[in-house]
Amino acid sequence: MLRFSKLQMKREMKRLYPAPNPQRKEEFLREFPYFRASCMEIIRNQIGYIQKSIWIFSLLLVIGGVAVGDYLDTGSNYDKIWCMSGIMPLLAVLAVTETFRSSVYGMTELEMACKHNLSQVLLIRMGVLGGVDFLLMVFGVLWIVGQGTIGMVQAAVYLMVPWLSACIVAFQIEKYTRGRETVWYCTAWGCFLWGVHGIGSKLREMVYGEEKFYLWFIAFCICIVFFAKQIWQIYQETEEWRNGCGASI
Amino acid sequence: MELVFDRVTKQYKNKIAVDRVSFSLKKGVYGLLGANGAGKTTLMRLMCGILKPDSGEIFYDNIKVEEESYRDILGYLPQEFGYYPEFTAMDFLMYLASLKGIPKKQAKKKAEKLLEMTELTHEAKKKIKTFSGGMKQRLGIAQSLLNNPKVLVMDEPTAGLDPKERVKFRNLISKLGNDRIVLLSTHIVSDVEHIADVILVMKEGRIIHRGSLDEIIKVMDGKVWECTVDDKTAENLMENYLPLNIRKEQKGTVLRLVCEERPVESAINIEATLEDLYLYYFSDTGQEDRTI
Repeated sequence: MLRFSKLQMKREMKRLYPAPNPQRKEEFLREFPYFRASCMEIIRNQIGYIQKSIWIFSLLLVIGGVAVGDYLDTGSNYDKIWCMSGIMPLLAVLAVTETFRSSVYGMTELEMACKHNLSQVLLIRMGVLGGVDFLLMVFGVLWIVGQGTIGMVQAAVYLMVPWLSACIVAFQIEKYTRGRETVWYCTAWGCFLWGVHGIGSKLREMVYGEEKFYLWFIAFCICIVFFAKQIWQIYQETEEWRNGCGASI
Repeated sequence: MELVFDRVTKQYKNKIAVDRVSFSLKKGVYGLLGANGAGKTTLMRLMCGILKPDSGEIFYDNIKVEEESYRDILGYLPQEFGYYPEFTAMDFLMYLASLKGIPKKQAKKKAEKLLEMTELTHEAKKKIKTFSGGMKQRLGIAQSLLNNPKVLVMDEPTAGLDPKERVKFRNLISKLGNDRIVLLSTHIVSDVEHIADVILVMKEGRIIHRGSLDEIIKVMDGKVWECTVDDKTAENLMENYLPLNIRKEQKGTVLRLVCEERPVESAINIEATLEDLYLYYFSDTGQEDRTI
């Protein structure tokens, strides 16, 4: 009697009973519920699509601020604050223009029809860019506080107010302008704030004086309220797309 | 698989772009035909959840179009779309694949396949800003198919494509329509004629006709006439009736007209085409409120 090994048996079976041709393979593959990207993967992807030049410019601005601050250090308490708060509007404008890249380059409609739509994209971008700016601000605060004469809260308020006010106006600009115009107006606004700040260099003792801090704090509170309101509005507005409504019926 | 529009209205200030539209779409290719400003783009944006209706509802198998699960099965090609200036064709597809929630590895395979299908493989690493209009359009078509959508909405997909590309596109759409809902709008009547199983004619925010090509054209039966006449009679006829086509020949002017009765003795009744219907409804000769 013939004796087969396991392997031979398998081979014989395959020969005698060939497997049927796959049926509806294409349909099956099409309907197959593939894994979807996780939330973290989507955030990671979005970070990857933020322009490298934004990171580089932001870093250069902070390094520049620190270098100029150290160079100009005349022993006054306020030189470093003046330098660091001066670059805040530019940092803010970089973050805002990058956040709204979709409408600048006409990608809004495509992004709104995707699973992870524009609202989510904007939230991720705002979170990431705002987060990085926040870290740079923390670095700036620590650098200022290192001088030993100004408290951490005070330094944070001095940096946050120009950053927030630049953001608030840039958000408004984004609302009323389209395309590359938005970038130009936002840049102009950032440069204007930076320029005004530069012109007021002689007043820094008065502006950052201890007795005027309550005004800064009031401004900070107002800015925070406006900023939060705008973020909420942006989220709501992207739910219904208003860019160019009626332009093409 | 059913997409339902239930009394949907959308208004921009004083203009009603979509006016109480109700219809349902099942598997197949639907062609949306209408003049500029008829409300086609708004209807498509509503269908993609990009715009919210002022009243009425749109849902797909009981899923509202505003929901993420609907966007997951949606493919959309807008009339005009931009791109980030640093993007290559591959970057563009990978970016949109990431927004569609497709994992990177799978997205790359799919993007390569779609680039091949749209004959852009050799341009995969080229910047989109160097592309011609037709190439951009093909890339737009590719991105709309990334997630293997069950609902595919294409606004003027054949704009910018040359005749050869258009034929390929038609064949592709015919195939896609077998197992999904495809809605496309175009000004090119012959595209709708060739691809669409069902034609929707839209005018002033309303769907005024819906049906297969034969059903749609039927309303024009016995109303399209052709005659060869002298110049003076031609002028007379053109004043009184809607000319669909005018051709000068040695023996006189050949006119194609639409009217209820025989316009001249020599006129012969001819078979209507979709283009005749389109011209009849959307010509600018002041007869805006035609109904048959």
